[in-house]
Amino acid sequence: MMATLGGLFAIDQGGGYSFSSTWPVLIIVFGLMKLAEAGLPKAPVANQGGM
Amino acid sequence: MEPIMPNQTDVSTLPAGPAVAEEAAPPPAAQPAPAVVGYCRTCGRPLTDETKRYALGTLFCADHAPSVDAPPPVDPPSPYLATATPLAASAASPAFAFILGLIPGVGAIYNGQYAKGFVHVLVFGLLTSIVSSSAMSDGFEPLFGTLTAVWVFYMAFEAYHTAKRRAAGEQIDEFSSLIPMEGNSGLPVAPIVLILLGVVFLLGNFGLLRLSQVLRFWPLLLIAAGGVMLANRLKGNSATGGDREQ
Repeated sequence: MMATLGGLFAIDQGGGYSFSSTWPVLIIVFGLMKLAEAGLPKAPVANQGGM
Repeated sequence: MEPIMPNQTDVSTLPAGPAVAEEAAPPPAAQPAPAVVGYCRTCGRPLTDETKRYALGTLFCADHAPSVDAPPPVDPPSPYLATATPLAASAASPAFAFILGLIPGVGAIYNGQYAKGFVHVLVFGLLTSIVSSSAMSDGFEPLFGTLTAVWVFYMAFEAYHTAKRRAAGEQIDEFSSLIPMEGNSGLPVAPIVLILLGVVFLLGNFGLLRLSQVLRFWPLLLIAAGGVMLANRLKGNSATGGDREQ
């Protein structure tokens, strides 16, 4: 998430797409991370919820 | 002949007697220090494989290891599943957590849930960005403005309840009390919804999709929710051997 955030700000600063346009990428990346996490075996200390 | 440094001993000039050789022999090489595999979460002492104690999802030294018998993990635990260290009962004040919870992320940090605090800040920032973005020209100010206000109070109440659980001595995880990511059917519904929302907003921001046209179909959400609830109910009935009168 931090890398994505940094990438989006870098694109914004670099004169590409503004962050106000690309912020939904954060939601997509977060969803993909949770999707991948749901497919992985849980650690011994499992939590009760998600997000 | 190479020059001899002051702290070196020229072995070639030593007599061959065993007693003398024993005196002049260089000290045996020191044993290599055991590899440090981590640091105690409480005191920061470097830990080796022999001295480390694994408990509550993190490493402790023998002096500070909690009395919880946790099996050693096979794989390093994911930071998203790491367990926050439960504080003493007197250290968690629900009222103070509520006040701090009004500041995005601070209430979660007070409860030792740093990753969740980051999520709180991120969601609050996204909501405020949406409110101030050009997408609001479609008339979504009331929706996202209300969501922002609700989110602020959600964070406060969430911090309050987490602190209350901590005060009761319950063990909390890093992402406790947030939206469950798995539905009753085991399908990761929430991540899929997040991805779809992100795609819709992204297309809207780039002008490939008009959000106002998409939102015209909001009743489909009610139909989908009803379908999911119906499927879960039917699945629950079949799992419990309930009657199927159709």
